[in-house]
Amino acid sequence: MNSRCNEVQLLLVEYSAGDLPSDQTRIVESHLKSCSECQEELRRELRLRGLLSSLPTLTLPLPGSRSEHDLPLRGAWRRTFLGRWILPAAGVAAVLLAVFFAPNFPSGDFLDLKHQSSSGSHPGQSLVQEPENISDWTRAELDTAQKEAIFSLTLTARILLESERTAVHQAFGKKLPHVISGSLRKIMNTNQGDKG
Amino acid sequence: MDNNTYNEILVTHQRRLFSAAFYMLRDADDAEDVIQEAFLRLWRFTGRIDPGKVTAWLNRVVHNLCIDQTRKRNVLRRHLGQPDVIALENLSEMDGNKSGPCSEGPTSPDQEELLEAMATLSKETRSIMIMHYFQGIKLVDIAEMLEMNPNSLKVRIHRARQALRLVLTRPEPVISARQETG
Repeated sequence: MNSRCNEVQLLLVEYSAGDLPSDQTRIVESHLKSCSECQEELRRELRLRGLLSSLPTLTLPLPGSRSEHDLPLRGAWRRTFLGRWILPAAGVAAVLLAVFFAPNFPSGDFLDLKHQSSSGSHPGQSLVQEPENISDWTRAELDTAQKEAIFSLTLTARILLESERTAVHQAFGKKLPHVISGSLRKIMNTNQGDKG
Repeated sequence: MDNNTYNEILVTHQRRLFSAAFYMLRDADDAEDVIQEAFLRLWRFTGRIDPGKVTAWLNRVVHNLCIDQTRKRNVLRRHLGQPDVIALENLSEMDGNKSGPCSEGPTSPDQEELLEAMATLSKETRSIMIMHYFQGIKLVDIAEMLEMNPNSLKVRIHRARQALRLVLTRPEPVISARQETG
């Protein structure tokens, strides 16, 4: 290969596209007549152009058309278990906990202050250290909230487990990792044991 | 730019740009994200874009977004310590007679092999090749769009062709030569 070959091979892209000025086209063609190496390079260039230019045009998926079945090509982040299930589940659980527990805070604080005025202990410690000082009404309310929170967590866990055989299976092409699956079952079993 | 003009641009360019982004990224979701972001930017910066250069602007934005997306994906993969299985899975899913759900026609095994081999090239070179060969944009226009020297583009493509030599050297020319001799 000589310097002329290098020069010609750089021009082959434009030559094959028909974008080369006529004077350079003549140079390329006269060189190609006598150089088998550049002829081979031109074949490769034409093959490259042929394969890439004939790639099919794709259609952008319509809004809302994404599903496990419609799109097998999914992003790396969406493929992860954390991105698909754990974070949404944690979000749902956090919201439910906030909803169930929030109404009890004012009454707890109020009782705490009341207890502080009577006993003189440090606020914030009374609920933890002396729960017997809380009135029956508040205890019942807290118990209810606790049960509802556990129920919501259990429900979330149950939804995740039910998803194991369907959506997760489709997304991963295999079963849910045993460790995670086991931890969710443990939550459910513990709760069921408490009920029993 | 009014709504009608914007919609016209959207309809005219979105499939071509989505296809280019997909062949660059080999992931439909990532390609869709790139196209959405590109058209969002078009809407946001509509007053600053020369109406005669909207196509070039969109091509450049998609090129840059694809490179960013590839970089993000590489960082994520490195962070998670995962091998490059996603692109391979995608390739296998698109393989054979199975046309992708968003594809109008199947890609041939030779095209798949070439796209797979192109994954070894730099993301910039890959994007330039998709723009030139698939989208049919002239090298001088790509050079102007990316503010690069046209000769450096030619050198990049020449080197890429050398790197893809094995995939591009196929018995097809020999068969045609036999036919010619026969």
